[in-house]
Amino acid sequence: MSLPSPQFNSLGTLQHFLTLDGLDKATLTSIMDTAENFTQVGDRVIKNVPLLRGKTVANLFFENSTRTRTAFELAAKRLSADLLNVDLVTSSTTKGESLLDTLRVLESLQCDMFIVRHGESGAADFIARHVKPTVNVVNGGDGQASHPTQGMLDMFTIRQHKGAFEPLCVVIIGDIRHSRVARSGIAALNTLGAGEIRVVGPRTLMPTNVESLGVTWYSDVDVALKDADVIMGLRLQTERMSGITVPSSREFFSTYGLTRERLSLAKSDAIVMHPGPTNRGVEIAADVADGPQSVILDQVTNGLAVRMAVMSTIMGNAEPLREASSQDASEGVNRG
Amino acid sequence: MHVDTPTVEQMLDRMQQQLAPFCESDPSVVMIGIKTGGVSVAAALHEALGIQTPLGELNISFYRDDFSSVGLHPVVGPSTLQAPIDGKHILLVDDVLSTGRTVRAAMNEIFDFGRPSRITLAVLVQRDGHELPIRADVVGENMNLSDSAHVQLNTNPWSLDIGERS
Amino acid sequence: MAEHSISKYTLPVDTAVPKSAASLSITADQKPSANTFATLGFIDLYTRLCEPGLKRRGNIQHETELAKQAGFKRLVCSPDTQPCIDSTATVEQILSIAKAQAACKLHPMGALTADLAGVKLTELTTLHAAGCVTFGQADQPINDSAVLLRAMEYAATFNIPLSLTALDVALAGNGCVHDGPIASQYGLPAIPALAETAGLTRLLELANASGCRIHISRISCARSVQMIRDTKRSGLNITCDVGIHHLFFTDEQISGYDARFHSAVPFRGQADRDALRQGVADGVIDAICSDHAPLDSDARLAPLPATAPGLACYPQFLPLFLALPKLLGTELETLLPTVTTAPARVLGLTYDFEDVNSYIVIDPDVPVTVSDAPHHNPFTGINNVKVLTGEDAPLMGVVLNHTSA
Repeated sequence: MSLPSPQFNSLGTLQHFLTLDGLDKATLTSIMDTAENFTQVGDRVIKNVPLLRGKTVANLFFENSTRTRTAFELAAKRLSADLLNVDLVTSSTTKGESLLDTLRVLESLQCDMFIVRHGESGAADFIARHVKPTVNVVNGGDGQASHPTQGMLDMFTIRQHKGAFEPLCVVIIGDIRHSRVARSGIAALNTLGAGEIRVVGPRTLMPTNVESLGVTWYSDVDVALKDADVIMGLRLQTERMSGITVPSSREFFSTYGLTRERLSLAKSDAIVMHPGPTNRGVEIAADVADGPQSVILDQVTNGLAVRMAVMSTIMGNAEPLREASSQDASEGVNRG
Repeated sequence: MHVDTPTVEQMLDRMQQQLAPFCESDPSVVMIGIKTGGVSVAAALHEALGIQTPLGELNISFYRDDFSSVGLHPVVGPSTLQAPIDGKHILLVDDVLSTGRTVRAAMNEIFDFGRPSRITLAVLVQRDGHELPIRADVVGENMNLSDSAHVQLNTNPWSLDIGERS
Repeated sequence: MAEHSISKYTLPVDTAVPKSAASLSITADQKPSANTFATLGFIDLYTRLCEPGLKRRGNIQHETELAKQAGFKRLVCSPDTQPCIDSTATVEQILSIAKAQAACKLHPMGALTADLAGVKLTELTTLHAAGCVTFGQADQPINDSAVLLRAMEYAATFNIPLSLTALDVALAGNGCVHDGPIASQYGLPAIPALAETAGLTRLLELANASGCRIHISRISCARSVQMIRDTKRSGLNITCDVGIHHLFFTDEQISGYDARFHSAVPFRGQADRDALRQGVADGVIDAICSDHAPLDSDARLAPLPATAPGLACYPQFLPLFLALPKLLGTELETLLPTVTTAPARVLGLTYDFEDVNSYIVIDPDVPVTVSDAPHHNPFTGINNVKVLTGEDAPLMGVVLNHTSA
């Protein structure tokens, strides 16, 4: 037995965006198609659409991430939602009961959507199971588990540059074991039918049973890069660089760093991706990160459209539930 | 029920005649079709009138006022307005005008792209059921239809299907 | 009130039918089924009673009542109370509460080191005299092998048995679930089977060197079963047990971040579970314990890695135990020693076979639906194991006579 996913509501539509694991190809494609329509909003005189006017979105960041928080903030604002940044990193809200207390308070303030960033795997899932049925939850990254909007913007960027997924050879280099970005990317690539997914790094950075994720492990980056269409770097967390997983950042760069010489082993039109912020001279050479094959900045731009698509899709899916709930409430008043 | 008279071609002719003076007096006029039905009508008129500026297409999914009851509508491709619209005369084209809500959404969206000097509304069919104070300036045909009637425009060849909503 | 005599006895093979058996009886309104049988009262080698100090989770009166209804007459309670069982004062406190309130006889497991900190030995002989039948570290293994060796040497000097859980703390890290495909898929911090087997190797080596009699508490993986099988063949006198839930659940249950299956000793892969079953069937695993863990109501109100581990066990222990013969392809008679004479032997306890109070009467044909706090018991509201594990085993079986402990 496993718990049914809380992602879908009583109407069978996507209510929360917690993980890409278990979402079908049609759902992922629909999100990318919707995002396509949001890409040009930023080019207009008025850079927003009135879709979420009157809705309140709360950024609940239990873990620091200026980039992700800002990306969600801008996405919410481009959709005309009101945004609340709740700084939970400094407040000591980590224990269970107080986490739920925080949720209840924000629910009482009539927030419609929570963007959650948390250090524990499964935190977004937990929060989604405990919010009112009218509230939407978006996972902005939880522990080592999942970072679904990053995964979607990666897929969107790949599709933008490569079209179909089926013929692609995707190479992911670095810390797979601790990376929620890798986990979400791998889940989506498998669902979208990517031809081959290779993960590259020392055994210390691979999860146990890495093959069970639907990938092939390569210890030699030069071998792995042959025939690559897409190369994804991952951020090596500072605390892991000089620890027991990798002897030093210098050694990592010399054995796995993406340099121009190594890039030349891949297909000539291969694209280079990285979720950012990049550690130049650790995972990737500066001239590759800034080079003609790099789409790292496209990823950032696309992140906005993808997040707008996710937020408007699930917010829209929950509208019938909100409507029903407010009718119940007003009928209650009338009866009273 | 299949309506043969007037034909869609006749209705388009009528619209073309009414729109021609705007185009002759102002070569910078911009025509915009509302997705999806309005685009085919606009494309036909754009060609027939020989309008120089590129045809614009509006996807009003993000501007509809029924998000809070039905959620996000299926997306039909992005809005594309290649011609600048600031200070321009806009010829806004749709296939059927009924409640007026689509046109309201379209005008809201247009103003997010810039501030046109004037908007002229041209529709193939103007029918009953107005819910907003919006009327077309240029009409192919006015029709009195029951509330439950549904108008469907087909292209290649042009035809109008009018049936009861199931 | 009329009384039924129990005519059918299913008793462990190494016990004699009591002369007084004819007096084993139940009251008429209990209407025994044809399969009703008598057997020795159960002994639990590992349970948590949470008193003193953790009464928001559970208490001696409540947990022992549940244990009694599951067929237990004697319980070894874990030392991880607050304060932990590292002083005679705490032992006396527990035994005095037990005397007044407990429905079962309690045998406290003493803490092997002060505060369970793994640094300083407790007064083993004093605590032993006060009533601690065995000593252990609960879920906090001693990290320092030198301390562990001295503890074993000291215990061996006085022939005090130790009951230890095999775990390499560093390899377990901050893990909360079995290190397998499920943990990789869900990105959960994981405890590799290696953490148990490396810890087990150390325990076996130190026990061999020190001559200490050790019981390995709550093994979870296939390789541990093999290692213990080999060790027993080599002649070292060790014993081991398994928590009953580990004979049913695997890491699959954790899918979807189901914190109800967050266990201190994690549920592992299917091959591990099958090996544990085989180990029980062929006697490599001596005993089955409850590993019962009451939890407070907010213990599961957090993301899975931050939740308190543990599953309540007593409400479903007997039905699960009675379902085992079919799942293991063995007879109930051969499994009964795992909860009776085997744990008695581990602890150096005896049964008074002549005393009618040593026996319980079980009706295996009564359907059971578990009603318990749903957050700490996955069986709540269900009456068939199939819902949880896919294997058809209805929850059936109750204890009919509740003679005094």
